[in-house]
Amino acid sequence: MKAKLPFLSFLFFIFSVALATNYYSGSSYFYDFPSCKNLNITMICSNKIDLNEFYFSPNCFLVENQTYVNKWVCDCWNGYKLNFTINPASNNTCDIYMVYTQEIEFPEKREVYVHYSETPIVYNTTLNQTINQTIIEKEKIVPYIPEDVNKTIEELKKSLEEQKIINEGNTRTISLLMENLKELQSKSSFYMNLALFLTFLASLFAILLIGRFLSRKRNL
Amino acid sequence: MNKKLVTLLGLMLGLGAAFGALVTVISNVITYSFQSKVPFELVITSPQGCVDNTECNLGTVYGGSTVELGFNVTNRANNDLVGTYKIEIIPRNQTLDCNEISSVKLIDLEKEQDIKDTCVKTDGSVYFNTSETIAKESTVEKTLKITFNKALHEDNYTIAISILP
Repeated sequence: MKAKLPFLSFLFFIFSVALATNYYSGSSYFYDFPSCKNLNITMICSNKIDLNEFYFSPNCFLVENQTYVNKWVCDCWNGYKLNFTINPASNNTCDIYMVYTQEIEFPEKREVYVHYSETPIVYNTTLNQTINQTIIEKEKIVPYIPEDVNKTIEELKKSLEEQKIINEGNTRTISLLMENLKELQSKSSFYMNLALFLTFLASLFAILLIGRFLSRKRNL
Repeated sequence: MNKKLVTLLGLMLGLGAAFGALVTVISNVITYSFQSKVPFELVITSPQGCVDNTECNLGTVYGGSTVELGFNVTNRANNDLVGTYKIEIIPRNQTLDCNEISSVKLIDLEKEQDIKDTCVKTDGSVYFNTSETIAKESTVEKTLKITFNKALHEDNYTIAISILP
C-alpha cells in the first residue's frame, strides 16, 4: 500500500488538474447573484498574476495585489451580474473563491398600539349634556413612529366602528338564535306533554282491558 | 482487507465531497478552478509537408520567385480580439536583409495588405508584423504571398508564422 501511495497521489493530482475548466484568454464570463450585498473575490494562481490579467466588473476594486494572490471587493446588489474578463495575454491556472453575503428582507412590521378608554366628559354647554366620548389616552408606536400617524389613528377608529357594528350584528344574531331556541324548547315541551298524556291514556285503556279480561275469567 | 480499506476510503471521499458541497451552499461561497488558454490557434494548411502547424520549410528559394502559404487563424475567445501576426523568414546559411524581399502580402476574402514596410532585421533573419481584429469564435482563412528580390541569395528558407494577442 505504501508503495502505491505516490502513484495514488499523482492520480489525485491529475484528477484535480482535469477538474479545472478551460477558459480562453480574452473571453468574458458572467455570474448571476440573485441576492447579494457584499462580494469578495480571491484568486490564487499557479503563475505570477500580471497587472490587469483579470478584470471583474461592475463596481469591483482590486484591494490586494500579490504575486500569486489577488483580491477584489465588489459592491453588489440583488440581481447583480458579475463580469469576469481574462486578458488575452493571460496564460495561468487559478482557483477563484467568491464569498458573498446575502441580504434577507423581512416584511416591514408596522404596529401601532392604541389604548382606548371610555371616559365620561361633561361639557358645559347651554343644554348641560353629558356625552360619552371615546378619547385616545395613550399611544405607543413600535418599532418606529410612522409619519402618517393621524391617518393610522383614523383608520383604527374606522375599523373600531366597523368592529362595533359587527359586534352589534353578532349580538342581534345571538339574541335571535336564543329566541329560536326558546321557541323550540317550548315546542318540544308541548310535544313531550302530549306524548305523556297519550301514554297515560294508553296505560289507562290497557288497565281497563286487563280488568275486563280478569272479570270475564272469574265469571267463567 | 484491501477491499475494506478501499471501501472506507471511498466512503470518506464521498462524505468529504458531500460535506464540502453542503458547506459551500451554506456559507455562500462559489469556488472553481480554471486554466486560461491562449485564444488564438494558427494552422498552416498549405503547402503540405510543413515542419509543423506554424513553421514551413520552403526548400531552396531562388531570387525573383514567389512563395505562397495558406493558413487558418481561429479566435476561440467569446470577444473580438486584436491579434498581431509575426511572420519570420529564416535562411539556413545566408544572411537575409529586408531589401531582398519585394513584397509580403497577407490576403483574405475581404482584403489584401502588403506588410513589407514593417520589416525588422534580426540576427540573420527578418520578420514582419501586422495586427488585425479577429471576430469572436471564428476562423479566418489567410494566404501569405512572399515575393523575393532578384538579388536574393540562393538558400534554404523557412517561414514561421505566429499570432499573439
